[in-house]
Amino acid sequence: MLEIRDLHASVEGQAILNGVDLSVGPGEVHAVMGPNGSGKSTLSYVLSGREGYAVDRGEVLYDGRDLLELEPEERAAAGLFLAFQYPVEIPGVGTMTFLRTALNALRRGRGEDELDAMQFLRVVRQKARALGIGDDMLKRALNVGFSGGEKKRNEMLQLAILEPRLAILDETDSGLDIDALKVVAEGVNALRSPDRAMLIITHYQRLLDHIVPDRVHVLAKGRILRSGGSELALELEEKGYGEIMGEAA
Amino acid sequence: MTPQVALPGVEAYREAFESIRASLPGERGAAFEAFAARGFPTNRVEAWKYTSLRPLARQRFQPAAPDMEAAVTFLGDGPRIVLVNGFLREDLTTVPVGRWGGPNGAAGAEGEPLVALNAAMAGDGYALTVGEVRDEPIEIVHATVPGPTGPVAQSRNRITVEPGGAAHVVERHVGLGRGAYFVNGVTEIEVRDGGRLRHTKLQDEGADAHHLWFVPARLGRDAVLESTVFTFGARLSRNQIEADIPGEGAELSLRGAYAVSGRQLADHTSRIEHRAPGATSRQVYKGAIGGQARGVFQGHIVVAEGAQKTDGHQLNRALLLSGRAEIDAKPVLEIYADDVQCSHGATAGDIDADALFYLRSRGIPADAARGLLVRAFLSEILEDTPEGALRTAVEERIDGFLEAGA
Repeated sequence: MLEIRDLHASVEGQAILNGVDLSVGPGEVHAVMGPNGSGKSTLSYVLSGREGYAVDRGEVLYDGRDLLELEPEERAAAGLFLAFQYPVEIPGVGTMTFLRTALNALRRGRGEDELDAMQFLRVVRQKARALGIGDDMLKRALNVGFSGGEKKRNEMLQLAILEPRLAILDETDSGLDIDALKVVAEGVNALRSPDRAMLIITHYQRLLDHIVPDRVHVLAKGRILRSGGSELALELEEKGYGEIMGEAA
Repeated sequence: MTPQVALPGVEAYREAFESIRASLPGERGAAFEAFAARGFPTNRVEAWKYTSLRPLARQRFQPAAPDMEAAVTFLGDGPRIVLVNGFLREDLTTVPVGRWGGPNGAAGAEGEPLVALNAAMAGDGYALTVGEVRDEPIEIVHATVPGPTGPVAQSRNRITVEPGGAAHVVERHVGLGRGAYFVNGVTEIEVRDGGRLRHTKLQDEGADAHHLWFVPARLGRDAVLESTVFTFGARLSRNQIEADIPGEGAELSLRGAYAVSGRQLADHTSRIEHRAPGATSRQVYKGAIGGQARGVFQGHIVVAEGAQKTDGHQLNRALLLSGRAEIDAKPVLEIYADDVQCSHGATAGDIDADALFYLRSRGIPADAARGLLVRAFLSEILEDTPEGALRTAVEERIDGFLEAGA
């Protein structure tokens, strides 16, 4: 489903990714772990098409298509979703207006009918309840005045509503207390399905206690240094990145 | 000194003035000479530094005549006052109003040349007095019919709110058909002790119009004036409010939202003079500027000696939607009292790139995402406009601005 081959990327002339190879199949959940500055966020932004990230070499295929030549909204329409590490506050845009605009844009792209206000409300209410999101939060402007945990739960709500085929979760566990972490993990697990892949980008292993990945990759200095099963996350937690990176060097 | 050259616009307007002088109520000579002494301001005049009227002064306009036939449409079914070409249409007006009878001698003291020109040439205007609490908004339409000669419509209007009175008036400015015209109007506002006025203006003139409107306002003790302007139309427009606050504890709020593109220029100029203690003034102006359009904001707050505990703030924010869009902002605080809270702020910039990416990453196409962000930016000014025809009209103008690819 996702094929990353020898991906080199830079920001403002500084090389961040130095040849990433990664392959994620349908229904698989992969974790990319790495220390700060290893290029984790850069990888997520390159995949989602943020401006300012230059791809210097390599390719990314999504269902066999060249992902990198698509605009961000075209990637979303193709089923890609990035849960932001730092969701953006947008004053003046209501959360509901935003969710409905996004969902209907995707539905139009998929050739489905748009949802009217009532149908939409039913969908949102049901999914919001499962994530412990109350009506008061939905009534506010998008992410404005949300706590860190509320922002992350709002990302998960978008994930649940937009139903992407490939979800990238960038440091979704940061800013969450243990209860919120469980709620979020349950939400993510509920979305696991044979045709939906996930890429979980995280510094710590604790999220992976709740969302058990099929594969774990260690990203450091802009490259995948090691890959393994879910037990690799535990090993990292025990030994730290230093040893793994030392081994590989 | 170089020899005096002809002042911009004076000769043409003298001819026009003489042609209608006999038909005008009141004595106008002094007012015209007050205009003629200065002519149209060019950007050598400090108050007009960013908005030159030189091109306007070169255009020939004929004084607009009453038009008793033109059809006018309305936002609502409520009470209304209608002027066409600057003349009251009694057949369409449903609110008892007085009419302007000409300057009463003091017109020579008009500080602004264009206000003097208005005093010299205005043929009509409504005078509304609010003595009680009026719940239903009053819709006031200023319509102008463009013509081959390029008419100039000038009316002189007045709103007086008596103590205990309260009202919401909506002044709407529209062109009836395509073509050039020039509107040079005045609405004087006086809110007496304890009165309350909400004044909303929707400037929706034709694309080839020039619109200059001057609002001298005066607030008595504990008077409240909330004035909001929405500017969308006209090639060049200036909305100028000069508020005099001699009343202790008065509250003034000036808000504005504008969306301009192409080669439009939208100028919002205000001057607030706090002359009594304990009054507050709040100003927020927000503009979306596309194409090669320009926005101008000049906000001047004066706090006179003795006007202690004055609380005056102004904020001007502009969203520049193209590389050639421009905003000129000039805030001035002039404070002669020592126990006051005053501030001003100005920002100008492009649409927030992070917000735009966030929306696009959710599948919202770039144009729609920009539209959402522009609407969100302007929405603060619309907050206190309830659902209804006025709000819908403003939202439609914003939609139109976005659809035109500002």
